[in-house]
Amino acid sequence: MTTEQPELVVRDLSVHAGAAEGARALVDRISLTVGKERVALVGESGSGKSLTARAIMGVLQAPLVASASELRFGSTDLRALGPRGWNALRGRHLALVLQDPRRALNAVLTVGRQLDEMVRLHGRFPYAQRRERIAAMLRAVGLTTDVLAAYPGTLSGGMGQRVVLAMMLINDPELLIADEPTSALDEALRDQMLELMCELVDARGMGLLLISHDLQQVARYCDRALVMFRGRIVDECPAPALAHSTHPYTRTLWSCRPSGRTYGSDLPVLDRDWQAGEAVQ
Amino acid sequence: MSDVVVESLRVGFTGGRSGHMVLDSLDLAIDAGETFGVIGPSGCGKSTLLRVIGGVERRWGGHIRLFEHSLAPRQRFMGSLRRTVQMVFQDPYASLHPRHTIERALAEPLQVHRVPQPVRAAREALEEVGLPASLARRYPHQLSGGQRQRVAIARALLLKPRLLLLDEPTSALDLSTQAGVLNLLNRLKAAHRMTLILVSHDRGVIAHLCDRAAIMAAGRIVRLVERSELSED
Repeated sequence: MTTEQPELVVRDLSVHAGAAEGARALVDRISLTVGKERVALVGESGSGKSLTARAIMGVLQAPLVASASELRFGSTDLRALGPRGWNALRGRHLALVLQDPRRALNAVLTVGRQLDEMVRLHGRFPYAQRRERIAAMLRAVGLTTDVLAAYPGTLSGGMGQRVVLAMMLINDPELLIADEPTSALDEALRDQMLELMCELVDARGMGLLLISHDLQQVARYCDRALVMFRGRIVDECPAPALAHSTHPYTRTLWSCRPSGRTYGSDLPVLDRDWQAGEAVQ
Repeated sequence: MSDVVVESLRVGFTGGRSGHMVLDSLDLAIDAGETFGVIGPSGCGKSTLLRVIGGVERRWGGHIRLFEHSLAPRQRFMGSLRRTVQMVFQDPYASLHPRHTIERALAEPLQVHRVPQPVRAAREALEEVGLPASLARRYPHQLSGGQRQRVAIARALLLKPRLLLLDEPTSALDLSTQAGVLNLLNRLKAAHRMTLILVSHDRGVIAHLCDRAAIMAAGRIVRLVERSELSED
């Protein structure tokens, strides 16, 4: 896999619950880079994948604190960024899509208002131009301008997630972080949503960091996969090769999906006591 | 003989002039001891079907027979049906009282039905679903999602039901936790010889657990699927 000039560089990122010495590390010295490629961060709940995404976006909530020896996006050092710097970066260069569109959207503003706000926050454009851009973006995510007047509560989950995606991509960011973007959607919609996301990411020459617990999904849509367990990256491989990983944790995660062939038999469950110490790197 | 027989079941939610039929003349027969799956996209009425059979939704039309009882619309479950039909809901956090300890949540149905030594039975039920009895004193928010769903299953099993209704029991859990809960259901199914109705939108879960399944769309059963076909998934 050739990766030109990585956009996002994370080195030794840790997230602690509290600034005190000896506080528990929820994310423990992980390193990763994301260029113009699709990278997946997989693991079960509580493994620290979402915290990693939040730390990169600078939206950790107190008392959580992040520290890193290097946290860089393009030429910007994210560790030294003040509130103004973050505001200029988030939504313009770095975008985040969360799990549940019903919570990500403002329930009392119309979709049109929210999309327009997103454009106005990052540039001055005349009204007609903004409207044109919003319409084009909505077409790109498979919606029509009919949704502009709608309130988020009246949209279905799939439509809501498309609106969120439109909001996030309208300023042409260089990197999209998607935190379980399909978990709140039903099965038929999941593939549709991911295909759309990958298509847009490729067409715009962006990078994608996809956070997911579904290894089969990741294998289909991503280039590289990082497997997290208890705050550490324990396995790393090209995503299509996830099925053949030799790491015990990755193997269990891969094979615990139920199907017709597993009828009548027990599914493998994680032996949570295996040595977490043997992490790679 | 069939445990559950549903004939021309209709459920409609009427708002103003335009009535919307959620279930439209639906027929279904489920045999004793069978694990029956219901699968379909969001909004196809699969949860409503389960809620009608479980006596939660009482406004319906048609005929329903559960075991030897004929149900009548608008009537609450009476007598033994209150014990023999139990339900597990999708979101384990929403189905447990946030201010009741696990012990209290589990003992309540036993107290209602005057089963002797409810607290001891509650602790045994926890062990049966693979949880340490020490969790009994905790509150729901102090458990993980998988543990909460196990508690919800333990509570449903306490009254030794003959029919267990499961509404998306694992869709709020991640894949590795889901595997544990599915293994538990497989084991309980063999141990208790219950009839199970499992509603899910995940084909994999249905194919893993069910003997037969119905595919639903827009309030109707589109097709019945036999085990041989499920194995191909």
